[in-house]
Amino acid sequence: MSPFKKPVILDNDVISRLYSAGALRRALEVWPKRSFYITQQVIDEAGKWPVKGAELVALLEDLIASENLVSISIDDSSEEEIMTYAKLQLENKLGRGESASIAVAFHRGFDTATDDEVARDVCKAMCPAVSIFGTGDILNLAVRDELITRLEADSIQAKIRRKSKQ
Amino acid sequence: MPDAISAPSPAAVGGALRRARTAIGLTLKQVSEVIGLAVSTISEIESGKRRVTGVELYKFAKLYQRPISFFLEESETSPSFAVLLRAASTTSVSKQTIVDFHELCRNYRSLLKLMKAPGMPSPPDYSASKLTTLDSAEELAETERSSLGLNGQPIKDICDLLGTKREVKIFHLPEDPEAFSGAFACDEQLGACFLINSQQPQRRRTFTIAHEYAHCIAHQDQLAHVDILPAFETRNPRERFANAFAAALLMPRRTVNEVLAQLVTPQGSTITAEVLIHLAIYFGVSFEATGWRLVSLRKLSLSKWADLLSEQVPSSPTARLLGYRTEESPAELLPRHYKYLAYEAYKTKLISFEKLAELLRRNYYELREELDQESQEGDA
Repeated sequence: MSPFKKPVILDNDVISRLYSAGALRRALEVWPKRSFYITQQVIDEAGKWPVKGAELVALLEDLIASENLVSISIDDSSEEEIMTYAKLQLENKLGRGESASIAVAFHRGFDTATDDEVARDVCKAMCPAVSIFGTGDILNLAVRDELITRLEADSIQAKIRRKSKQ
Repeated sequence: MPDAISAPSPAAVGGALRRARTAIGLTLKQVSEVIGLAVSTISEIESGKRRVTGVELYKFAKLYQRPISFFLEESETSPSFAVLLRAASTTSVSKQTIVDFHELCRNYRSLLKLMKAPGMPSPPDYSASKLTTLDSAEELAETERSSLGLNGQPIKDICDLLGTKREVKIFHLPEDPEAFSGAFACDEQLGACFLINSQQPQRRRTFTIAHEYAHCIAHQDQLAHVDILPAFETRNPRERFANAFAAALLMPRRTVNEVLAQLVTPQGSTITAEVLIHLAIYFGVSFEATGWRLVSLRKLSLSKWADLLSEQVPSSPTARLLGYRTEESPAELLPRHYKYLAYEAYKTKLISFEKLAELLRRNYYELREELDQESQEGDA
């Protein structure tokens, strides 16, 4: 049983941090299947990353095949989802990928994971029913549920901090 | 639940949809086949008789390669871009490039607004004066140089100069270098916007920007204009005027005379290919533009210039020895000020990192890696 009350949509930010620390597969595969979702926009953006994109997409596809990740698209969204997506885009603060993630999370009853402060603030303000997790939350909850050790979680966090100081 | 969108009227959204469709040259039938709506339904939506649904709007936006917000906030039309798109249908620049250019200009406007950037003077409008003579071009260029605080010195970076002092939005996009040099659009909604072909050599791009600036200030009543190639021998009076203005702006008469006085001695030496190369490097323009400027200043005869032109001087070993490069740095797609505003918006937490990557036309992961790397190097 997942400690997350709802499935969580991961955005570029979380994928990028975990991947840069070499911990994307590990951080997701310890959880029950279908705990995490990813939008097609995020996969497409990863695919356009010169040099490393192909490797990252292969890893994401692998995680999708094993159901550690579920791919969704805003293309088959409802009227309400599209209007929320449009509303988020009109704020002119978020990218298309994160707007899609938040809109889908809001209307399909999911939660979302991002470390981007602006994305978190916009989500809180416009879609307060959506809970927001950070990379640290995912790792800490995994420790709490004894899915990984504290030592391992700290090691991943330290790698992320070293890699991304923005 | 987020508040409902205070969407513009169906007529406004429909109008924006029609403009976006015609901008990329699609017929109602073609759109109908892709979107899966009847031609009559699309026609009703475009005329405002039927409200478009969110799902339909998303499909239209995807097909027309516009953000969904374009249809919901574009309550005003940009008359200059409408003119530009019409011009694009009869010239060699692609409509897709113009649409792309339009989006970049809209982004720039949003950034200026978001960052509350202090307004700068817009390019002056001399179109009422109906300037056409070459003397008036020379005079106007002198006036502009003085107003821009240039005195006699060469212009180091014309993009920066016009961007910071005249709020001209200059973007470089790739097009066929043999078929398109540049375009301008200017109206109240977006201000002065220049599109320059990034595939042209740097020296030619510099001249094109000055040429577009001439159109922008002397022919602003046209709203927009597309230039195919810089033809120095054109008979079109407006093009001749723009060429003369560009030459005088980049190579002011007095400075040309001063530099020439140092290079050509009164003891009878003439203007050689080396002198032209030296001048071209000094002013940051092409060998060709320099030659035509000396012809117009009566420092070089047409026959002598024709001889020099036939010698393929710019690609000669002598030109390289003197420091004239034909293989030059690629153009920056975005203006420096635009990039600065986008980065500042991100640093001050007004936009997300993903939005920053979108504004800079960069891949999210690549940009993240670059900035992380820079941060680590800073720490080291």
